[in-house]
Amino acid sequence: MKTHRPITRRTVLRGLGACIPLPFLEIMATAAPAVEQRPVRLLWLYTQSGAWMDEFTPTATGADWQLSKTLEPLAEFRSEVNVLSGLRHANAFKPNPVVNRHGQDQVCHLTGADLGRVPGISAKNSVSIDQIAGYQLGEQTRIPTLNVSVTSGSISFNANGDRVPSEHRPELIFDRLFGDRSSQSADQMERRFRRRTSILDSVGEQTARLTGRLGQADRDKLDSYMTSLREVERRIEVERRWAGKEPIPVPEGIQRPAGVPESRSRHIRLLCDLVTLALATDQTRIVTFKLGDMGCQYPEIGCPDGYHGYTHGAHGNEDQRRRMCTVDRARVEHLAYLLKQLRGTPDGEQDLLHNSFVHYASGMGSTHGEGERDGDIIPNLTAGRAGGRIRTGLHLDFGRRELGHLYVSMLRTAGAQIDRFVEAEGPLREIEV
Amino acid sequence: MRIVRSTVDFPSFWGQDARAARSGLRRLLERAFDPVQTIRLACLLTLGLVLCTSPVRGEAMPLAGVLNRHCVECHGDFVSEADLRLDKLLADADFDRDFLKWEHLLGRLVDRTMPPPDHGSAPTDAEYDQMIDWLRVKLSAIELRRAETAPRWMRRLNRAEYDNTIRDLFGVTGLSPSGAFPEDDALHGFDNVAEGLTLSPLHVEAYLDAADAILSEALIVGPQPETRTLRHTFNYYEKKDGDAQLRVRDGNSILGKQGETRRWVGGPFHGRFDVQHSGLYRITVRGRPHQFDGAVAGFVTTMNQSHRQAHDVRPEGEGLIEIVGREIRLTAGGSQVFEIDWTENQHRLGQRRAGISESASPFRQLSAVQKMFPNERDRWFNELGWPYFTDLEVEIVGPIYESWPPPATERLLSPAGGQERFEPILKAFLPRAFRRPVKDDEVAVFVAIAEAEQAAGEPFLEALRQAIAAALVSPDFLFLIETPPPESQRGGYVLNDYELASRLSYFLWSTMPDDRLFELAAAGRLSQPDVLRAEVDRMLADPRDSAMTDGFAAQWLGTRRIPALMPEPALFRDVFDDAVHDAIAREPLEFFETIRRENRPITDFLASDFAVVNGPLARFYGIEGVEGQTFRKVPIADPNRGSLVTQAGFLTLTSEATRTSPIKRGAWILERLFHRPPPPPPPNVGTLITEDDPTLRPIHEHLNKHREIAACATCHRRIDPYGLALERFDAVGSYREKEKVLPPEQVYLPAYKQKPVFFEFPKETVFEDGTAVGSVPEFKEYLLGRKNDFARGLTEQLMIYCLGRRLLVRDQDDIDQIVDQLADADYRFGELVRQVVLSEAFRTR
Repeated sequence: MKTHRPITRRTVLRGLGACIPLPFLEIMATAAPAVEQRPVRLLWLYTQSGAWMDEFTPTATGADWQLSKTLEPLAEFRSEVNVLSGLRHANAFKPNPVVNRHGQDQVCHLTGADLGRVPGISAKNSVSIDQIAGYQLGEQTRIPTLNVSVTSGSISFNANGDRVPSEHRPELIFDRLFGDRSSQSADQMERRFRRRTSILDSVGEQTARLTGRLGQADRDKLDSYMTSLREVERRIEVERRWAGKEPIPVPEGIQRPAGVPESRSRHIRLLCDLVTLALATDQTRIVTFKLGDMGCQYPEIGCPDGYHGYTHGAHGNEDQRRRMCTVDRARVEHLAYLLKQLRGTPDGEQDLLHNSFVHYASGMGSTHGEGERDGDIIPNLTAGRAGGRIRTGLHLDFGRRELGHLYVSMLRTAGAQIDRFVEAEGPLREIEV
Repeated sequence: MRIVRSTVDFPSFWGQDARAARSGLRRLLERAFDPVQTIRLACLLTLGLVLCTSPVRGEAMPLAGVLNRHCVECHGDFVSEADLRLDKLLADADFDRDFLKWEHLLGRLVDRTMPPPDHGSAPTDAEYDQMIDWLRVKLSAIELRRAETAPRWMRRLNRAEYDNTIRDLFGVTGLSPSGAFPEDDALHGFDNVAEGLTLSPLHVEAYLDAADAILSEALIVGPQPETRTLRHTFNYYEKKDGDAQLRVRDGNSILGKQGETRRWVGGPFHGRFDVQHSGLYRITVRGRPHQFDGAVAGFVTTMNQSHRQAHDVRPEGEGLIEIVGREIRLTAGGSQVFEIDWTENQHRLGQRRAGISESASPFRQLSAVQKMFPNERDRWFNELGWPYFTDLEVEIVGPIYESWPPPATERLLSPAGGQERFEPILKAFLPRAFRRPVKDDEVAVFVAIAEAEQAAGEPFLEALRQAIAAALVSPDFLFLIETPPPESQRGGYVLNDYELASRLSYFLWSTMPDDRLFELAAAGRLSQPDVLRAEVDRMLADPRDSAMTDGFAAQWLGTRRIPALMPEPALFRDVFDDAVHDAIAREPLEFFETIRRENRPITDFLASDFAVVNGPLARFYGIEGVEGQTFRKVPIADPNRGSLVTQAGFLTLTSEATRTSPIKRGAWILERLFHRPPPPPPPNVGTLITEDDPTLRPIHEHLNKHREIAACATCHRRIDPYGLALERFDAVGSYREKEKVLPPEQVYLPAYKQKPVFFEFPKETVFEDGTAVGSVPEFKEYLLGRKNDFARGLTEQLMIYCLGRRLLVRDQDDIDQIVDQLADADYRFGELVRQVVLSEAFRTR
């Protein structure tokens, strides 16, 4: 397809963008010492506004199933993939003032919240599963959870139900991973921690004093600020413990990215690389990644209009449906790219993919959510063996069951203590070893 | 958070004729964005009275019989489909508790999706309408009451406000510390609405980092860093970079070989360099012009792919001239990329307009000939007569300091009179940082921070930095704090003069109050209406007021989204290039800026006799005589332009990549011009073009058919005409005489293989109020006829922006008044701002 443009300004700089050479076979071979049991990495990958389910869901269930058209890019990972049909958060499909019948599409995918449960507040969310994992396991790594997204907008929420920002700018993610730690000495780091702690102490006192002067109605934002201050204090403590260890050098041959690539696919792949880099250097074990947005355009694969338009058009028009499926497949290709990077990165005696538990899903299916027929049939699949703790290579159809069971399974395999998530009691037994 | 279905927004339930509807109660009863429809039923008025005076609970719904008859069979005691017990809902009549269920039901009634088509019985249209009306009144009253009791969220500075405030607090220009902050979410249309401005640990970490970065520029002592000069002259151009400190690369835009005169004939080149010290740098590009003959050359420069700036030069003579010179603040570390693009070179544009492809262009041929026959070069240049530059030179000088220590440091330290004392310094700094008087015991807190640092072995300056950093992370700095007594009623607290000063300066300047506002606040005079009025006039005349263009107008008009749009190149590459793309994102802002600066009537937004364009855009619109990148106001002869809605930016923003979308255009006009957003479409609405009908048809036929569906008609009768009236503009805003419809599969075929079908536009577009409009100028007239509705829409959005919150019932009286005053003042923009500032809502919390 031609995407020629007459003026070349934007193409001139294209060559300047840093490419991260992956997989890590050579680079990281010595980074991860072989130990008995490597930690399980949890990844939640998410695309907005659904998928055309007729081409997503494999026909047969059990262990003997064929990849559907949309899932074809996963061919080389089939034995490490589970397709889990019929899981969703029932709460997300209750009437509420926010989602415009998009089911769990907008904000509930990782929270399973009933947004309308607090009268008068238009969208009271609750804590998302990645943050629960972060609260329990986050202190094992430098960065409790890494939240990235191809556009601005995050699907992660803290214990207050406030949005945890995600980052789409590759260079900033890179800085978070390798910024100060690679360049500062232990003394410099220690001085910095001391100074920051003292600032936070004083700001905490000021915030508390100010809160006292205000009525209940004005306090809300200050309370959030206070919570954030406390959280940063806690993180500084974690960082401090980490500072005593060897600094994490930027792996050889890897440069700081030069900004957001103009092509969406390149952007997503760069983010995949950074996620792999974060996991490979064990700076985080918990990742959320929104790799598709409802407004995304994909001119490079012949889908120049917004994805959202195709999802509406798909119901009456073959051309629109074909384009929707093209995008669905491209998104699965992005997933396959990430899986390839993970598999290419040694981790203990296995590779990162083996030791990961990846969930790939959307918050909608073919039709709109709330109250519509089959509106709650949504795509779900997992990849990775969670270090051998789960069975894979299956297509299971649960009819209609709480997606939360899967989240419970994910956290448990990673070592968290969790019995239930929102409405879901216990793990998903069917994939247990 | 982007709330997609903002049903709690009252404006959609608001009537528009302000004079006819003085009381809030009456307005409540008017139907959504439905200006012509007057109050319908007397009984509704009675009901409205009841609902405002009696508790919500316990009222029976009229027409309960209808629901019983058609719905309870499936949603009742025996069968309760979708977990909905209508019998119970009706019996309880607790609309507050069951709000969402009733709202859900309302949606089903509006969409006519319940009872389902195969159910056998259904309410009549009149019954539907009556239930819908009743429920709307009922539920909107509850929503409004809830809004009144919702938290009064406190505003934190958003990213732009943070940067501007730092600039003015320290007097350091060009810093953008907020670059690494998480992006701010917009709510109710604006990213300064308190409710939407979330906080997270990432924010706190970013604030801490920013404080360090700011102070490393604003508070520096010691020896002055050496000012270095990096220079690259093209006469000494080497193909290899070597380890030159300034590495320059062109994009085939500079012609010439080793040892020869190099000619720049247009297009971009860039230079990469490192900086050792953060600070202000001056970047200069010089060259010797040839064959310009009075032509204007337009350039765009960027630094690290952002900080775009346009420059125009009209070279005279053949002496060496400065093509571009700009100062920019750079941060040490990492490689810096400066790029200059000669975008406005007539010869290349002319060639494209003439349909000569790039590969066949004289430019390419020239380039090829040069390689083969270096001696032929001069002949080619002379024959083509193109303008070009020789003796190109790029120079980077910095860091530059106007004095040492830098003025910002001088200013911070001067209160101590050269002594190492924290207290006088902080006592002068903190009131400006917190935008209010600061008591001695508060100062003592920060002095203690500095002293503790000193005790820990830090030098004086480091300790001072620590105290100032603590102030920059303090809620007193980060939030616009207004302190009503804890038990005060909403709207019952009159802001004190300092709070008013901040509200004013963040509204008009997106930054902290200046010295004069602080003086007036200290004297307790700012709240006097005549003083306030005079200050608004002063502030409107100040160049800082363009902050309102970037803050308010950019969001109101959606221009921030325009750069990311991707019209299909296969269809539009002949007219729509990067220069046009840049220009259409800028035009609405330049247009707004002109109306603001010249205090023109806001009706110019609907129909104006001028346009504000630059060279690329003028050519796009077919306006003669505008060259260069700089925007200027020009009179227009073309009656089809001269309005917000005829600007290519709006027209592209509301199109799909390959075709127009009259629905998007219509919905945008209702939402942004009249502030009456239509409700979202029902679920699973298909596309307009279905596969059952492969015939190519003009878009208006699809829309007409679509409006035959009852569930769609109500809203689309209102939305579609606004878009259909603009169908003479294609998906990038070019004017067209006929509608061109191309089968989707032919989009990527070469033009000669495409088989488009052309359709005439319908003779006229009929609006819901019966007005028929036959052309774009008539449509502009029609919009002008609705100027009061527009004035109200604009006022409401300006109020949301300046208050940083959604509007409440009580605000409507203010808005009525403002719109009235505006009509008496010839709709002047300045009067609108003045009236907003003087309104009760602005001065209270």
